[in-house]
Amino acid sequence: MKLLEIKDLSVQFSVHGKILQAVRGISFDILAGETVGIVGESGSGKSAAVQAITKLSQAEKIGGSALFEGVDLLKEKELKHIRGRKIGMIFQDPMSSLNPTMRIGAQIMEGLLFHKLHPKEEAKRKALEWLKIVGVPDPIARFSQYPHELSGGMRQRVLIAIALACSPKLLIADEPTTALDVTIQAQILDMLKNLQKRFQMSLLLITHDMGVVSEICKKVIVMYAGKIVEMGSVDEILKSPKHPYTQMLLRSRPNLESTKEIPLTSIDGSPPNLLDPPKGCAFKERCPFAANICDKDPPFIKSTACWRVS
Amino acid sequence: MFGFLFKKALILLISLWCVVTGTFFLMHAIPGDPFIGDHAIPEEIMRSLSAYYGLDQPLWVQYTKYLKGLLGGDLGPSIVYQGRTVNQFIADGLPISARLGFQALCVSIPCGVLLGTWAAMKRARWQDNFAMALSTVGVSVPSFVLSSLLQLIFCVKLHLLPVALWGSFEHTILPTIALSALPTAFIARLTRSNMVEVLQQDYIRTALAKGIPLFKVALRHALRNALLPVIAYLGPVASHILTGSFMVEKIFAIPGLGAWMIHSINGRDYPMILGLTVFFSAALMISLFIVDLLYSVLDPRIRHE
Amino acid sequence: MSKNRPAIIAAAILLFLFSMALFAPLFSSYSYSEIHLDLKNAEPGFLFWFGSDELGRDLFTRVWWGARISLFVGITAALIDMGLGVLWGSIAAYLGGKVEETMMRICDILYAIPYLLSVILLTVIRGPGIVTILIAMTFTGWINMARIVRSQILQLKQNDYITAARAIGASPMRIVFRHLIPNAIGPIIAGVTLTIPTAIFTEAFLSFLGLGIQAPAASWGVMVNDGLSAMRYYPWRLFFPALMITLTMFSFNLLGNALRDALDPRLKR
Repeated sequence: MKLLEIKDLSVQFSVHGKILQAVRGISFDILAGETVGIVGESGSGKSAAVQAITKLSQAEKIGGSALFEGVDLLKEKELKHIRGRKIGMIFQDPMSSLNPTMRIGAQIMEGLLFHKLHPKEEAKRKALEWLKIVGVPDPIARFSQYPHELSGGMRQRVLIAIALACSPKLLIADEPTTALDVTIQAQILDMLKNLQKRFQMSLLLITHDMGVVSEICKKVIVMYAGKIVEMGSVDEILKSPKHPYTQMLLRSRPNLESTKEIPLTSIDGSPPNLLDPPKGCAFKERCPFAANICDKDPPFIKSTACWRVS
Repeated sequence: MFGFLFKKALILLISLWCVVTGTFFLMHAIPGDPFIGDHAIPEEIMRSLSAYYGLDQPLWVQYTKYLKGLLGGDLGPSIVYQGRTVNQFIADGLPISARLGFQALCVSIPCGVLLGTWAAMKRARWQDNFAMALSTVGVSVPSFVLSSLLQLIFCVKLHLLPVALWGSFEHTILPTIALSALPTAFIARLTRSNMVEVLQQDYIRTALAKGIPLFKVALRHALRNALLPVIAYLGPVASHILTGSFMVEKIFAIPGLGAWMIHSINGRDYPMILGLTVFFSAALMISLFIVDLLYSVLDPRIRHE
Repeated sequence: MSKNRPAIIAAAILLFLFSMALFAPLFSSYSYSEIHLDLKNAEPGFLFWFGSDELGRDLFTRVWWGARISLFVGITAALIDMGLGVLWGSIAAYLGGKVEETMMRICDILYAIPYLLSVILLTVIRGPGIVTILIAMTFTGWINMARIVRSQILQLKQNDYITAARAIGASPMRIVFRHLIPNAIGPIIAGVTLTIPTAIFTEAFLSFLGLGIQAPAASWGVMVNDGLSAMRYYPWRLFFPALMITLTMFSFNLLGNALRDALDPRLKR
């Protein structure tokens, strides 16, 4: 059953009077209980796309459709019944995402109370339960503390509790571990994996790290310069990536197990300027296989947007 | 938190001491004899003046006497209104000025905060520009101009309100408006810029992601954080209201402390100027301290230091 | 671009005021102290464009004379404040440690002294006159600027180019004047522009109390004081100087706000 259907989503920002096309027409689906990862470098449009879906974006124009359980999120006037209740979100920076003058417990309870899911006493109990579930030690003490008394990893756990408090069907996690230490990263990712399995919810994970995706997700979407360049199951993509960008992305990861000395590979050049997007395939400047035909937009065939594949 | 408050109290006490000492020595720097000046002073008043100020004694003795007097709450006599002391004038004028100031606060804080919040929510649209233009005008029109204008329009031309003096509630309306224009404008600007900044914060996004609508988020999350600097600003607001009261009271002929201050300045009643200055400074510093106290109670980050 | 419109309007108004202040008294057929007792309290008209006061003096000339005085006092006071504040704030911020703490504590202590009270006091003691007013206004006025400069420099101090300058042996003086202050110039300029209206207001306030400029010289404050008593029957005597004060303060405020927004270092691209 399709939980989320994105069709031809485009997001435009207005920067100093000029138009920046952050997302240039992407389409994908998320089924109930499915874990999907969107991978891409900075500026690929992945965060912009996801923030636009829930209308938490500062974008000038959002085009296309985002059907959630049949309802087009982009055309709805009020998303307050869906946000928090059906779709939970966690963002990148745990240090600044909590209200510094409000106690932790109150911030978790807020969603529960607003969506009228429980009376106050029940909500408090639930909030404490959630603190336990996300692995915050000594939840009763932490409940009455303020954000500045918690560490970064702890705060991210609280934010996850907040996002999941109303038991949403879809959790959107935008670079949830980027701002954390590597050791904490592993813990948080593990927790996300377990929570997803336990509550059977769909997970949409945004990251620039292919490794993270391979850990948690079943399906992966690779974005570049505002478009999807390849899409498929994690196993497929890791074993045989078809798009040159995906191939180079995978190759550029340092191999810690190799005994020989191998130089680090990187992709030459830098992403195109989306204030003036190139015609045709956006990767052609950096692609070793670029040909004249790449000046035309490649069709999306066999889950890849590349002329070589079709 | 107590460390924070203690430091603030200490600084204020030192400032007060500076004001007292400074004023005292400034008085004695005036050429001629400030305590006599050109006033004709009868024998007995001269005696009480001498007794209070120790006029024939060396300077530092006079200074110590004065300090002792202050600590006991005695602010000295007046030369112009002979036989009356500064304390008596304060007793007469303080209730009036305090009421005026309090009314001005009751008007400026809510109006300023509402105006600023509204402007922040409608950021960059015409409501925002209009509100901010209004507040710039509020900051730029001196209170004596505003007072006269109000008098001209509402009293002379429209005969709606009494033009001066003090007595009924109607007498307080125009002075309160005149006095609160500047603080309202300042508070509106400050609230707006804080609200705009706060509304950009990540935790606002988190709250919106829970599904809570914008205006509720603004009230519950944003306002608390945006208002903290506004509270810190209340100290200078008290200062503005105090000095604004000088002009407003004079123009509306209200017998408050501000008017007495002006009288004593015009009449070169130096001991009274000295006494009133010390009183005003002390009153202001107490309000500054109260504001700091409020701020430290409300900001949990300071509470936990 | 509409963000710049208020600033441009403000600048235009100020340009107009400055030019009038400079040229109008020169071309007027009256002097500011010329008395015409038979034409006193005349309404604004052909003879006296802004009317005349109770000694028959031309208000038009007096208003623009007043402009010279008020603008001069306002700008000079603001510049002195800037000089003192920049020196104090930058030295404190650069030296850091105990010295900085002491210097800023002194600021805190002086700051608690009510500004207008100290101004009144000093003027009462010294007697009226331009020098007195300037001293009185700048006595505690520089503190605000010192704080702004200090916080700016504290931030700038962290920058790598400062470390680099130190590493090649540049003297502290040079670092402060050549590197730190020029980079803090944005908020400093904005600060000065916003101090001017306060200074103009303070001068008007002092004159209003009779402590400022003395007759027959005409600052706007003096004229407002004059005009107040005659407000009922000869409102133009109050109207024109009051209008000028308000316009000037308003324009400087607008300009200062726009400058502050435009030069805000946090918005650097």
